[in-house]
Amino acid sequence: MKLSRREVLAGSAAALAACGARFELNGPFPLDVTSGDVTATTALLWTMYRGNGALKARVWREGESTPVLEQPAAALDGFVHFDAAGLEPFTWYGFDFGDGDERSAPGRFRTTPAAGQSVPLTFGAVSCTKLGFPLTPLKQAAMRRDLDAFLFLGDTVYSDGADDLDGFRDKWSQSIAHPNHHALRAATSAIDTWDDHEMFDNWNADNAGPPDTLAGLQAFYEHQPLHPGPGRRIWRSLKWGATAEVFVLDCRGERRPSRQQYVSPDQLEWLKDALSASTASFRIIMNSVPISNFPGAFFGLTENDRWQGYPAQREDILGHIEDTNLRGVLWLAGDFHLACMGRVSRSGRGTSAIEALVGPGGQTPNVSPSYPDLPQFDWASGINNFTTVQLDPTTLEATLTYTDGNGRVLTRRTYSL
Amino acid sequence: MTRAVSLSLVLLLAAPARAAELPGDPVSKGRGALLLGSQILALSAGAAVSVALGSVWIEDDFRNNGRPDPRVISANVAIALAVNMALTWILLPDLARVTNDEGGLANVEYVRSETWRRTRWLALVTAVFAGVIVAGAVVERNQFGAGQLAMAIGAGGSALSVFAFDLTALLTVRQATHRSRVKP
Repeated sequence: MKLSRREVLAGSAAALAACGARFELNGPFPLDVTSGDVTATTALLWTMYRGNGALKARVWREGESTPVLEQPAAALDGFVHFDAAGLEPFTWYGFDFGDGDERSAPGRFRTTPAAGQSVPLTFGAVSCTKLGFPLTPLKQAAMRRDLDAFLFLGDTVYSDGADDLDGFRDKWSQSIAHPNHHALRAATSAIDTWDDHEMFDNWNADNAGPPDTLAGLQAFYEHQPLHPGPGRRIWRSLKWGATAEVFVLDCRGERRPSRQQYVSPDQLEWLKDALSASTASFRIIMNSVPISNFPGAFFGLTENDRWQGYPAQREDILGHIEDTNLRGVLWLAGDFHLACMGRVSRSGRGTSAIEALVGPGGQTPNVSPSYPDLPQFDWASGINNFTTVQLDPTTLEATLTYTDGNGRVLTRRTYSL
Repeated sequence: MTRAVSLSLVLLLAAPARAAELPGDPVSKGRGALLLGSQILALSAGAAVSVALGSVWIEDDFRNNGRPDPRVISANVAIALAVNMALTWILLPDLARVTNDEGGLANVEYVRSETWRRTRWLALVTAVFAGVIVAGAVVERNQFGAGQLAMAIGAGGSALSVFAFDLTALLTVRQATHRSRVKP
């Protein structure tokens, strides 16, 4: 078997990571490129730049060599967030950055369908990708050419132990320097949210001091292809034509256990209003921690770490969806170190709501001696994986496929939403 | 099944009465430390062997299915507990021999019978808790969430009781060794 130089480098880097060695951040573009939060006509392009030249972003239609856009791009503290505009809807583009002497590795993204355009879509999704694990599911996902966007459900980077901006930046750069992270971040655009480990274990608004939180949030936004919302909030929605709208929740940063508040009242009201106002066939809710109720003593130990421990807000949102008869709702979650699919509740609110837990992409499996099972849950696995979510607006069916780090399909299931 | 339970009860109840105390020289500090060290080593080895044996099938099952089967886990926990207790019973009384010197010899049979007498009820308690784990696992396999509490109680109870079992065995062997020494 003949290996390319890139494969040898990638393999060596992965082996180094597994041994706990540090990645060297060499060259003007040490973390390559990524893109995120695309619309029908815009995309946010990202790179880390460690040079002094006149930086330019370049965008071209995939398969064509002439750039459709070549504009100066500015770096702030070495981080470039470039808003590319004037793009065509539902079109694959390539992009890179250059400073006259050197060019970054290229990345690619697809703009969303135009408003009103109803087409099938395929998203990838993962959670819990810790440095030190092989992260082979990310490599498998990066090899796919059909993922319209990739959803990162949080715990993308484990920043535990960082206590200042330099510390958080180091955690981020070392984590995404992994070649499999590089490859996936460049392969399609991202939709990101955070979970607790982007800051520290069990992070919430009650237990985080402002300096820690601010440094952690700053590092998050510096390294991710998205702009912070007002007050650095992350919850938002992204429209993918008439097919889907993706609702990105913040399940950690506004949580206040002292007030029985899982998400802020503002976020909850926004979610209810936005879900109702959406005209998309599918309403995908990115929810870093599951809304499913998990019965039993083992998962009961951690019920205060998810919606289940905040029944009033949980009932509120599930009741709103049921009472207003919203269709096409699919909850996606991570955090649990296990993949599973099933109903959100066995009885009461949520018996017809579907949730899929994605990942872990690189973590130890959940240690519970019993995993979710029928009748509430259809399938569960602790094998490291990534998920594809295929959305067919004509049938209102969502097909979920779980794939392990060797490219083996673990399971595939279609839900009529 | 009934016969097995009856036999177990007969064995438990038919433990020998405490043997008459035998005169002997005190165990030297060095030999006492050697006994303690070898006991701890034997207990650690027993625990390691039982955990290793118990985890073989669990890991294999997980690799094949991508998820744990509570029945496999509970069966392996029960096996691990049984192996641990068996090794303690077999190994620890024999370690009394390490105290043998010109000042005295330990009566291993006496040490063994004393160890059995003092630990048998703890062994029974551990076995009951192991049964609770297995029963919980069977229920859990039929309905997710239904057997977890029983499994948790069984796991916690058996962990405490097997710890008490090992500690009691360790202390009993030491006491009985001292008491059973006779001049060579």
